Amino acid sequence: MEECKPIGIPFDPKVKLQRNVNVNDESLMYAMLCTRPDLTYPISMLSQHMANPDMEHWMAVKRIFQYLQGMLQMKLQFGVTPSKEVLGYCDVDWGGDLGDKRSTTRFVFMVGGGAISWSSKRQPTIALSTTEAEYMANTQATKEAIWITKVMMDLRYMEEKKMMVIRCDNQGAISLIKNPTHHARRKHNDVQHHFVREQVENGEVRFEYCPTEHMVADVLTKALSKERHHKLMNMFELEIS
Amino acid sequence: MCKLHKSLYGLKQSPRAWNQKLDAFIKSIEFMKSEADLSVYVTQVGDVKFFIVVYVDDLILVCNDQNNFLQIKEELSQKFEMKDLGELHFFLGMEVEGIVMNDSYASTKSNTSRKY
Repeated sequence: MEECKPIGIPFDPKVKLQRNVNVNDESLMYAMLCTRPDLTYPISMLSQHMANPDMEHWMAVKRIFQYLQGMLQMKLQFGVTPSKEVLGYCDVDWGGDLGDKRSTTRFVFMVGGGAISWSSKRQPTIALSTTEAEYMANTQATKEAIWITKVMMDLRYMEEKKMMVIRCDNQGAISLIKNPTHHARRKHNDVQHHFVREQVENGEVRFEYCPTEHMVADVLTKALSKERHHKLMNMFELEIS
Repeated sequence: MCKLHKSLYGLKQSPRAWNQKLDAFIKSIEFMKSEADLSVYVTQVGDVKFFIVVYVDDLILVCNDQNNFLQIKEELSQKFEMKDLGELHFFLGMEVEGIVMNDSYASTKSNTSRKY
């Protein structure tokens, strides 16, 4: 694929992969886990079709290589923004799976402008609303935030424990976390998802509203237009320099 | 049946034996093991911070003080047979560029995906 034509985005927004589908994506997976958060979405999509792939999936893999061809020089940069603070972004793609309608959790954590931790994962249960999906996603992001705080403490990056801010674009989920009341609509939520409330009460994390437009984590669960894909990648300092 | 007095190369227990030895030595030179990431060791004296990142038998040493850096490197090389590969460029398939390590923690990482 070394002579292929470079391409601007790693996943075609018009393509929706159906379950039916062995694509060898291990090598891509390694790149994604190390320094390429922009590949998170396409690789998580493809990995779900490893069992029975067809032509469409193969084309999608080729597209990722074409994209990489154009973005070989792209790198993650740290320390571009002077702030030492750790900032998290958390978002969901509600009902994004065509087969079983489960939602996808996505989050990214950044230090000094550069992304240090990212994930895009299909939720294990079906969420009935975007709020519910976001609430579950916030639990996952909180778990990561607590670990990152520990690492930062161990590395002497922070002198004392600070509350980590996670930005989220769902007002409903934020109110749900801030106001831990019992509600008929929340009755069915699994106990594990209330973890986030406890951690907010303990002062481990804080959730802040962030309009969808500035939601960096968006690039982790959706195939976006070229313009938006690159705008968001700039936001976590993944750029060509 | 024989009882071994020391670890033998190729046995399934040898990686563990290696790690125990390395771990014990790094701790003996006043490093603390990070609980959040077990392959990271840290020590701090005043403003001088020293990090050791371990990947089996590959170590990354990071320090903001030249003298300390050389001293620890010397201590490690006396204990273990080591090669100094110079400034960090590649680690686990990641290409690393432009590390500045005084007060700021700036570093740049990139990945040449062509290799995979």
